[in-house]
Amino acid sequence: MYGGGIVAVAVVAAAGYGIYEATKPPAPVKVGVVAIAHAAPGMKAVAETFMKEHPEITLEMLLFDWETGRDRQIHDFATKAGEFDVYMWDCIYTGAFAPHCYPVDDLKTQYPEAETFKEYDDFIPTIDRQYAQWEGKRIGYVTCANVMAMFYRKDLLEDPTVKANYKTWVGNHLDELKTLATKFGLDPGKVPTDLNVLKTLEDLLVIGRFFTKTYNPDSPTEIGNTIMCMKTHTIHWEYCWLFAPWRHSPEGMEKCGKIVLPYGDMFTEDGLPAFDPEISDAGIKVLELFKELSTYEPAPMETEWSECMELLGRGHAFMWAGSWASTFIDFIEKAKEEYPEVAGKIGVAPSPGMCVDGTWQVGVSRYSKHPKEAWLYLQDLMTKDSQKVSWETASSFPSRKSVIEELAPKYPGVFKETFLVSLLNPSIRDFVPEDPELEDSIAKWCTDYFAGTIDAKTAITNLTAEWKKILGK
Amino acid sequence: MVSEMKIKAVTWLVIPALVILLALVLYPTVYLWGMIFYSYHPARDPYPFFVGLKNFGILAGDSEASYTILAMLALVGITIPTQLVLGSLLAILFTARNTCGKLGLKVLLLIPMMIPAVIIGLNWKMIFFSKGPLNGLLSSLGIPPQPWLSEPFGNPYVVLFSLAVLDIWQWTPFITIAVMSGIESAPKEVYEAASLDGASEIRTLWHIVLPMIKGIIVIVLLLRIIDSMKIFDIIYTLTYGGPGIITTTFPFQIYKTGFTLTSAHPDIGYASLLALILLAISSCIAMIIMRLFHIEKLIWE
Repeated sequence: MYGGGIVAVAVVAAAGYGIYEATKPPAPVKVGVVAIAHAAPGMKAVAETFMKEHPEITLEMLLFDWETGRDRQIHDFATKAGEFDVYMWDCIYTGAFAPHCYPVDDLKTQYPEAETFKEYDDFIPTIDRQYAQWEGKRIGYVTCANVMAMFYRKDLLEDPTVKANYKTWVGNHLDELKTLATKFGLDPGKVPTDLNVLKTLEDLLVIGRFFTKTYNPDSPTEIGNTIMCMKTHTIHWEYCWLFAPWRHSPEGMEKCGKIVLPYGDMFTEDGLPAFDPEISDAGIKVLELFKELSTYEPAPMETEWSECMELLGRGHAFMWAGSWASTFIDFIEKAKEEYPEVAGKIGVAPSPGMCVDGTWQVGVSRYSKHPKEAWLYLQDLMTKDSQKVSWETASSFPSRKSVIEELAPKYPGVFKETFLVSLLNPSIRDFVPEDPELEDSIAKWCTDYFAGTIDAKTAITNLTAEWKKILGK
Repeated sequence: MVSEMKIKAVTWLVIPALVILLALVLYPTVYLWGMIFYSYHPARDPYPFFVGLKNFGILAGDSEASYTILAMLALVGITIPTQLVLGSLLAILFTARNTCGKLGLKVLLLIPMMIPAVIIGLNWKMIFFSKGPLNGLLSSLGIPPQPWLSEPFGNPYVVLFSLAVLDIWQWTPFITIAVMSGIESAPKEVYEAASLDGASEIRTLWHIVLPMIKGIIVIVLLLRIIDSMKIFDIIYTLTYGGPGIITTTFPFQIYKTGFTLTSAHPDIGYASLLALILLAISSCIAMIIMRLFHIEKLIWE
């Protein structure tokens, strides 16, 4: 009797469990999203809204610095494990990431019902074509149109006493400064005799020097310009930044030919290193200039992003000429909370010389287990509202023309006159598949020279040979 | 009959352990050996492909790999003797009868060992920062600030010493604790006999206790050498092998080669060859130490 009762209870329980399992709402799909560096808070803010609208999808935001995130994604390429559903990459890694991203056209074919975004004409065409597409196929979207910019102490630059001191200092050292400019392949006739917003590499050399205590004991700041020379990534872009004005000059164009993509400014029209000493001594002089500029900061070879932020933000440095638009939020928008020492005192302008491209892209991993859901999020990240949220949360500069137009009146002198101008006339680094190896190589030879173990000519000669070898040329 | 059954039972019991051993140790080792004859670019190749002895050819011309082996050995050469001397001296101090507050000192000593290496790297990065507390201290003493992670005292290679300082700071307590336990485990009668014979505390330690705990010291030395050769996480967070490749030690070079693209030869096959070389170097050093100090004899003693 009891046995029958137990069986009945068990049957009812099993049936109940079966009904529960059959009718319960499905567990949300978990999508792993790589979110790098300064763009990450904006992506996270968009993700929170997205998850409210799509309760069936959980976005797991994995916030990394670039080096860690890059390495983790490369592990995923090698293992094809699909650890992440959304990849994120710096523009120069486009060639390296492209084979591992789902072509958007394939997603459109496989999941037509998931296509929500169609405003491709609204993207800034140059960056969209270069970094979100590879060999004619769309592999993702530019989520942050980051661009190089100079952040500087506006209060000091506009101070009449400092201006007068500058004039006197330059007057006293004019011959020496002209000789210095000539030594680095710059125009001695462009040595600035008045203190104004920096525009050229001559300005950077001379004004940076004036604000460095070791060169000018009366300088109001200790460091003239803070610069990053520690890692592969930063050295690569900084060399390109200093090399670009020569490469774009009539002499550079005559000796190296047109600038072709995906090779960019550091290559000749034939895809060979443009800094090759056999072409000209410009590459050597640029490296020497790089080292000279690094003396304006006490420990350039151990300075990264966060150290540069601190040096300018705590009032030690006059400028960070090779900074990025994404620091706008820290130095200007939220300076009162982040850096009270310099709140209201920082100005922003295009970097002297030329500004380097630094956009960030997102794409769906080829190894993703949930490509449809990942794609849905990426499309949501590209809407006008999301781009505004990304700007407001993380100063991720929009990649859509209409958003730039809409936000520009709120930021006079900044949005269009600084960031957009730089974005439309950039210095372009290579974005070939071999770029990571090229980065490592340039860092190695540059730091050997900075450390004094080899001279500039040896460094550039070896660099040229190694780049040719890496590219198989 | 019973013994046969026992043998069968034991065999069955051993099988799971054997399977796990095969799956987790033997297979990866054989795979590693196999991979040295393959090439596999982590981002560009869809699968590994056979290249024969090509990786050996790359190794022959790879000056970066040679440098990183030297950097690794230099780091071991600086840290291990320092840790051994410093750790032993601290152990002697902590076991001396007249030392006050031994418990507190022992707890303090354990702190560096308990902190994850990644946290140590990040914290010391702040300490070494050009405007950080270390340079602040130097400035207050009238000494010019130093770029500790690039060119301290004007020499970029001195940055290896900055790394060594961290390793010494973290792992000296390990030696101290091991030596201390050896000293404390020595029979009291030995001390009493030495005392009756009129030997001072230092002489007792040097001539009686230290030879007695030689085995412990050698094993600790062996463990520390193997561990120090593997140093990775502090480098990753503190310098990422820079400036240039100055602080790139061999294990970090293997990581860069196999798992990042920022190396002159990014290739999992080539990284496997480098890993085997690291294994060979570690094994050689371990064997030399074991032979030199007759470790089996010491253990049995």
